[in-house]
Amino acid sequence: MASTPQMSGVLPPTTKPAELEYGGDEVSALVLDPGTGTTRCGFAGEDTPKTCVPTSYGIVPDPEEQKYFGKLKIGENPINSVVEGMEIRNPMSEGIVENWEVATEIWRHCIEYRLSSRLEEHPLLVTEPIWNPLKKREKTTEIVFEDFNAPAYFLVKSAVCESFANSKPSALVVDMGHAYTSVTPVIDGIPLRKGSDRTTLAGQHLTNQLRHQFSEMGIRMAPWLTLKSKTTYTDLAAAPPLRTKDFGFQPHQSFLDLQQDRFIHEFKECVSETWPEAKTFPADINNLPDNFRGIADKAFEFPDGYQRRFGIDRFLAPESLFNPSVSPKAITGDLPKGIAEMIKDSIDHLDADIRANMLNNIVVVGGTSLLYRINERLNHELMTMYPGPRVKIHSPGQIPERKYSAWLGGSILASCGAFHQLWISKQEYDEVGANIIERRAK
Amino acid sequence: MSGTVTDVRDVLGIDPGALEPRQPPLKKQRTVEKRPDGITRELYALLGENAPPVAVVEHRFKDKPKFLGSVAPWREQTFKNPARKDGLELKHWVRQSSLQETSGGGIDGDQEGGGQQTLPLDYQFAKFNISVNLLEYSDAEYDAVLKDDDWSRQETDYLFRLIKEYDLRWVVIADRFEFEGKDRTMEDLKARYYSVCRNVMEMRTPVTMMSAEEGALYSAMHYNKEQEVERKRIVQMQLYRTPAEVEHEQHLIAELRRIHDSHQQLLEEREELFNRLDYPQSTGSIAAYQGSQGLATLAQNILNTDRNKKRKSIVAPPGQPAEKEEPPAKATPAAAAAAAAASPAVSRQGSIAEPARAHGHQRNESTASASAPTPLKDKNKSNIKQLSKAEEAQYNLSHHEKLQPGVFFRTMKMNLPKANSFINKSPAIMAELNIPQILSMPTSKTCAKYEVLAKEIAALMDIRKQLEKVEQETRIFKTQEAMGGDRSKRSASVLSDVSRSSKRPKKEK
Ligand SMILES: Nc1ncnc2c1ncn2[C@@H]1O[C@H](COP(=O)(O)OP(=O)(O)OP(=O)(O)O)[C@@H](O)[C@H]1O
Ligand SMILES: [Mg+2]
Repeated sequence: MASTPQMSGVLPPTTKPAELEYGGDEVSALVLDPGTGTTRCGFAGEDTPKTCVPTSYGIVPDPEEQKYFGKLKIGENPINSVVEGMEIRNPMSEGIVENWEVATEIWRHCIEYRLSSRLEEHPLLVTEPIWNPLKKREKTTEIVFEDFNAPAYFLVKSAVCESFANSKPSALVVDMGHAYTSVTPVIDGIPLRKGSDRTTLAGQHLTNQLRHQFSEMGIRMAPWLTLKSKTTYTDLAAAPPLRTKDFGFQPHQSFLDLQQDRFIHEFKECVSETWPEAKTFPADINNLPDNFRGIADKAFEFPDGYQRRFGIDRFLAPESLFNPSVSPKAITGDLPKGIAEMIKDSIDHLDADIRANMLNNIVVVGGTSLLYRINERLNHELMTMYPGPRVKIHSPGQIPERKYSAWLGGSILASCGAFHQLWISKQEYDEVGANIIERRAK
Repeated sequence: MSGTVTDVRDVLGIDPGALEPRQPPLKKQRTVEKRPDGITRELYALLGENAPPVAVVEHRFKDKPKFLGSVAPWREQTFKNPARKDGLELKHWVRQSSLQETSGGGIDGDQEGGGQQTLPLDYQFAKFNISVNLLEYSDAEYDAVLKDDDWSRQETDYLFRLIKEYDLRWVVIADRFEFEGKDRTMEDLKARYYSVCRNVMEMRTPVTMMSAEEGALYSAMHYNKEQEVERKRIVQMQLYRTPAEVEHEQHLIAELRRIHDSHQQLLEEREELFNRLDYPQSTGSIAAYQGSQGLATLAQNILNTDRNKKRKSIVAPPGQPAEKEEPPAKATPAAAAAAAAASPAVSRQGSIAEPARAHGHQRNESTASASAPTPLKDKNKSNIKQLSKAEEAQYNLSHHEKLQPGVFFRTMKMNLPKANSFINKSPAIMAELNIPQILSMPTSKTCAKYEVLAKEIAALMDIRKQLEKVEQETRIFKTQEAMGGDRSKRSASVLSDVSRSSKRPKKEK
């Protein structure tokens, strides 16, 4: 390539940086990171996704019509507007795509509508969870080549992207998302199967726990959208009557749940806090020992105007991530392992030689990892479990980097010069069929 | 801060103009030395005794930044990656000029005619497409040396495929290995792989015929499975230590280091002692000192070294009188007396001022003393009143052979032990004794006392340390005794062995 002239300081805009310096070679690829909470999409080489669309969609089921594509409501605004009979559903289950028609529509919406890009022009990189079964991977391949007609495509594990986004080829990736918290050991960019694990103790679990906790407290959970106005009050017994809007119909329960999720999410962001130490959370929060008296209160106002100060009870739901037995809403069936135990089990599955290295390179990402002081707790738990080796948690300091780590890693990968030999081309797909994904992207 | 020359002149009442003006140093002739190649101007300026660069500020606008060349268009260009077999064409943006340069450079001649349709063939990132060189075996070789009861041909083939795919990343290979539900550990896989490699290598070239390189590879391939399993077991144990164990271990390490250090010190001290006990042995011939002249030089030499030694030892602390033949001089008390004899108001001031100066006692009065009329020694020598000892003490008067120029705190001149341990630890001991760190009234007497005290503290600290050491040693010997007299005897003999060996080379010299 052109020898770049010797320049000090910033390169002038007419000069191209020496390629091998950053190893990048952008081929205008798109990166798609479909999660249970949100689907993120953008151009490879950028540092944040251009668009972030809720994965939930609205639908007005019509018993007569079989095809309902015209009625799909995709995007932040459509799903949050009050429509008679609109149900809110999610095309993902267990972190993987269940409803392909809708997922395809959402992806198409992201790329064609939000990014105004033509699907057939850009190579497409899609992320997937480690437990994505072969059938689903083949289906994704089919959609990308048959429906989208993409020139090239690749499917990467999101854990690999997340470790790359934190500039680590080898790491123990802990992704605390919406539906799942997963642990994946990654060695030189290859995820290990033994030692990977997941649990539902994640954002959605937290939301449901909080919902239960609030209703136990007797709080009216009317969402903003259904209220005409509010009057602030602090005494639940003397609550003023609710002034609800009259839509002329009753919005569907799933829609109301989604609206509740919105202020519960706000509660998670502002009030919830993780107890920073392992094993010291008081067993009975109604009978606090004296040394727990000094906990700082935080105030929260519910949409109907109810104001309440939360003390130790704001630690309760996050505590259930680590210690499921203290959940506000008792978990039915087998009690899952706490997140820290899951990480320990994962590490104990690994080869003895790499355990110390993994403990030293724990990457924690995902929306739920933004919970206040959750990393502190994780660190404390792991330090008590492994007092000998060095435990180090790496978590991006920037909020977007933590939320969009998987996307960011994909963006880095797809704009990397050495990656371009890995793309699965349309030609290869035509020759081999959907099974090519198993051969090329293990 | 110590005073400047002008301060002193002020104090002495010397007219500032009286002293002859300092001769400005002769301007050095500036020789323009040639700057050697390869050194930037800035760096060179730092090296020599050059005048600092003068910034010339011109009042005009900044120059337009000079971009190199004109703006070159960027073009979206399709390219093929030679690392791919399917000829996938991707597009990326390339600067026009660099395009021309490369195609003009003639890397690929046939690109010229086609315009800018495709890039030159050598896609720069293709070179990262590397894979490890792995040994491959033929059917005949397998049948000859590789048959194994535990491993079937299929499984071995599968293993080698995995190894190739994951470039010998054993962790990943062990993770992905799945063959007919067999439970294989990483050690099993490694053992099989290395034994296959060694057998094949040996069959192709007998060990005795191998080149050095091959031989090295052959022996590197040796894999001891039991040892590896044991090693991993130990690694694992290391990982799951309890906090108590970790703490205990750290404690032991610290203790070990301490013992090692003190042992080292002991040896050093012992060696020094031996050196001292050994009389210096003459090395040169004594022929030079045989004549009378030679003897005289020798005597002179010995005298000189002696004198040097003495001088060093008599860098006496400032509080003590220096060894000089003259008895306490009369000049200073005389001046003070003169001042005392003058008018009461002035004399009071003067008498304070004088000793203050004489002492280098800089307090607030020193400014006052600067303005006070300072009696000059010579003029008033005649009407001196001799002061008695008591009076001298009363006026805080002292006699000095030589005065240091400038003003300073007396406390600054105190002769305190310099050792780090003293500086670090003395405050605690002072606090223990209820003595303030800073003297509130640093007269010469208190200062002297303070010095004595400091020395005693230093001595105390030394003794404490010694005591600690001795105690430690007794403790060690006691434990050793407790652990078995036999062993303590042995370690004692080891110690004496070590000391003997450290002594021996010295003797030889
Ligand atoms: N600041 C915050 N504090 C607490 N929780 C947060 C915060 N920000 C986001 N979350 C939660 O993080 C979750 C979304 O995380 P993320 O975007 O990583 O999930 P996802 O990738 O869409 O889902 P998954 O990975 O499970 O398929 C939501 O449950 C959201 O409530
Ligand atoms: Mg996710």
